[in-house]
Amino acid sequence: MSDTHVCTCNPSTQNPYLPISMVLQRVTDEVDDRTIKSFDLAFAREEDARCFKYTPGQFCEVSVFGEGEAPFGIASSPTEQGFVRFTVKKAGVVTTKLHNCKPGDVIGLRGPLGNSFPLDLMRGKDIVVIGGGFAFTTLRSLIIYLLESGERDRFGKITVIYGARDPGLLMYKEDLAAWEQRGDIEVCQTIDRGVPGWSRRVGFVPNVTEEVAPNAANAVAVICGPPIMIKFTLPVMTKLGFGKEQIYTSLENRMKCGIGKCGRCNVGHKYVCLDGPVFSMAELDQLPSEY
Amino acid sequence: MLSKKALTSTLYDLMDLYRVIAPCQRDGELRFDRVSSPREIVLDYGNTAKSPKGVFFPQNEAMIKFGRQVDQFNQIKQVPLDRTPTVLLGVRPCDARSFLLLDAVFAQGRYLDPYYQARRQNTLIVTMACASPRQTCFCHAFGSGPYDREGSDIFLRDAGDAYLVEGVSQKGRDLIYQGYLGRASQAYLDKAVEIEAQANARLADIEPVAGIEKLLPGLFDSPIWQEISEKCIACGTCTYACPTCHCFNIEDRVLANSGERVRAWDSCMYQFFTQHASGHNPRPDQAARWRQRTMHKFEYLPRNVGLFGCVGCGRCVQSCPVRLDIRGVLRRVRAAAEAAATAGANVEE
Amino acid sequence: MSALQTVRDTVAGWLRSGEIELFIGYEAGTVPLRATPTFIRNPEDVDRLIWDATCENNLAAFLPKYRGKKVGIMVKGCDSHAVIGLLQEGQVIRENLRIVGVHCPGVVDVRRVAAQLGVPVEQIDDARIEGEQVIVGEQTLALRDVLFEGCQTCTCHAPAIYDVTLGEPVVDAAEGDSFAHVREMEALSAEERWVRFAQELERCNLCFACRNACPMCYCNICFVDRSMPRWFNQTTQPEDKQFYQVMRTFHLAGRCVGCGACTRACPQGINIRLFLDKLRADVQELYGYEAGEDAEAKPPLTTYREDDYNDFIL
Repeated sequence: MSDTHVCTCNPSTQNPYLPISMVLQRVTDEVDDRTIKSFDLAFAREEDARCFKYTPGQFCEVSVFGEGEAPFGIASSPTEQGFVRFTVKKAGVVTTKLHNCKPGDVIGLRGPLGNSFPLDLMRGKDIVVIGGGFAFTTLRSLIIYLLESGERDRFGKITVIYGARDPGLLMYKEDLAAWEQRGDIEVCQTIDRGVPGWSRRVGFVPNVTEEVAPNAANAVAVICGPPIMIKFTLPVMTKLGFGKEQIYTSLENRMKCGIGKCGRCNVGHKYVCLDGPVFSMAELDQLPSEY
Repeated sequence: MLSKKALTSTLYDLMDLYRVIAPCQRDGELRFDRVSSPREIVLDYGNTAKSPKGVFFPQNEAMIKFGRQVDQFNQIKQVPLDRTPTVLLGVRPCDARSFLLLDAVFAQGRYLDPYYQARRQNTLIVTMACASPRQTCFCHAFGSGPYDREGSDIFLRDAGDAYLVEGVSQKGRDLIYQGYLGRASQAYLDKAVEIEAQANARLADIEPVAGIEKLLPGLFDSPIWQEISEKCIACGTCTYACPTCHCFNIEDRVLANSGERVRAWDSCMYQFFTQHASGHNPRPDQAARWRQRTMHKFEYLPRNVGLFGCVGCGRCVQSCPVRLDIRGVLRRVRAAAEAAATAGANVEE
Repeated sequence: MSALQTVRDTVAGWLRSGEIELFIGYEAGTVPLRATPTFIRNPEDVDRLIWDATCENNLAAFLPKYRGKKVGIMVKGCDSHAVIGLLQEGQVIRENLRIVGVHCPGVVDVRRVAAQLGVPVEQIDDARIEGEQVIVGEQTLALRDVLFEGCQTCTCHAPAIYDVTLGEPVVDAAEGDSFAHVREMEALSAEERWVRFAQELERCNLCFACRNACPMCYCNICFVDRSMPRWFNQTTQPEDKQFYQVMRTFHLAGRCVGCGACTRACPQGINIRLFLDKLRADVQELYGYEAGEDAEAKPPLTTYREDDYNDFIL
């Protein structure tokens, strides 16, 4: 993966367990029931900011000192300066503590870790980005990168399909609205069942995908979502002519070290933190379905 | 050659220069620990119940400390690395080989573990050949044996009232002063060979492990994992006793005005090892967890780093409360693979 | 036909008739002097079943996993009290069980064999039990001398619950007070007791073999594994090990039947039953109650009686 950046200038790469200090800048609610928040972290030290180079798809181990660490996909794009964003769903010990953090709090960061979406493969092709619910975090990073990195013309048509149970659960509402205004990207937001006030599409992601996905001949698809969504969307992709090596996803697994040593996140012989989290469906077919 | 009578004074000299870690009695058990006198050292033993992996990869290790300032934890500092020059004396060949696997995990690849490396690079391994393998030993199934020098810096062999001392690595040869130790006479060489033959005679017949890594991928969905794991009580003792098991957890401990981030041994045998915060567990039952243990040791590690995750020391067999024998697991795997192959052949006919 | 063969045939009969779908018993193991649990579903496999003094596991520990299923099980006297304990707590249903109750004279403690011979346990390569003797290589020991410590003062040789029995009732009276080790600790001062307790736990690895071997430790999420709230660190500082042992012991107060499986499971040879027997003795004294005696009895820590001991309430 030539686009993956493994930073060697940061002193913490001398010790991959040592986090750098970040300062929490901003907390935003992403969904109406407030279980998902975005955290914008700024670098406490200038040198760390200069050295931290990442590509869409990568993740970091975020520390709430005293509680522990948890892995989160990077939701910001490397083109967004001055902060790194993580969108976190409140689920366990670390995420609960993080949700109680306030601007000014010190948060630890280890990263960037893992591999990235295959930008090399995506150049010169149409791109379909399909997301469901909470799984849209690194897709946001990818989309903004594609639009803002100064090489939009090296990618073909970009189609985004993003579905959630109801409008309140769609994240990044402002970003989505901004993208809808642009001429260089097609955005299809959808919800499961119609509600008053919703004027956009209604329908499950697999069905919407079937309607709007571009010709598979020169396309790459990235799909992130709950297992059930992936299960029903994959056959649609196959029907549309997408080969398994044209479809990419990002896996989640319980992680601790994030650097392929603690033996926890493996799927078969591959570590999600090291060989992933981005895998093609073709690669996943070679691995046991233990995730 | 080093006479056993001269051993004590040699060890005193060694202890002037190095921290010496050797088998000794501690808290009523024989284990590897720092010794302050040569008299504490026990060299005439089978093998310790706990492996010496704790010398490089301690059960608990504080990696980072953080102080508390006002309301927040910051002042993040790495715990100083341990670079004390050390001699690890009296490990058995199986344990010496286990360090090579730990090297492949912690000291190779994209990320290097500085805590492990600091200790490992500053430690000399002095292996004692294994004169009386036990019924549960199966190092020879890996093409190794009780007199295997792999992984050692210096290799000691019992020759009656003396030890034969060999420098295996450059580091080891540098430590040995040939003039000081004196060459061994033929009588001693013969005695050592005699003891080695006796040791080899004790090894039970067992099928070589090589090749099992090719059989395992096809057995992922096999029902054998359910049968194998049914009596497992998921206690994790096997993973704690094992010299090559290295799965760990990272936790923060909070004290009054400070905290530390600790690395602690963990076990893939535990129910919640892979459980997500959402409650989803990719390995929901003991069958899946035993499959992981077996695959990790005998397929994934060979595939990824070219080494098996097992050295045949037999500690897991000895310490398992229900006597789940990993040799039996390997036999089961071979039988299942054979049965599948036969069934496949029959279908083709 | 031997008594064991009769039992094997009975088990085969249960499997064939569908009265049980699984039988949990013992078979010969690969390590000397220790049998291993076996799970039999096929009537043809019953010849694997053995019974002798190497059958030390408490198989009742496997029962909660098969709740709702029809299961047969072989239990020693002490194990059968664990089955009753599980009945008391609603973890098994009597109609779903077929129990082979064994009159057990005691199980061999391989650590004691090793201690008597002056060798490490792993050095015992060739050993077997013949009648009342343990033969190790060229040496012979009296089985009586190397029984597990709890077995030497056992008062429950006979199975307390069964469908069929195996073996003759054990006529030896127990020698000595089964709580002698508790009394010995009680006679020490509080500081001395703390030192002994801490010393005993120095060797603990926090492997949880004791918890997992225990039939009464069947909680879906043990306090050790809970992360919200997080009670427990995974580190092995003395306070972590002490906290774990104390908590587990107290969670078993009024529930532990004294089978000793925890102590035999411990890879470090820690005298775990010492702590649990203290609470068993206390519960007997304070509430006149023993766990695992009566399937209908309500454990004292879940019931209230007007005459309950309450001097500790100020």
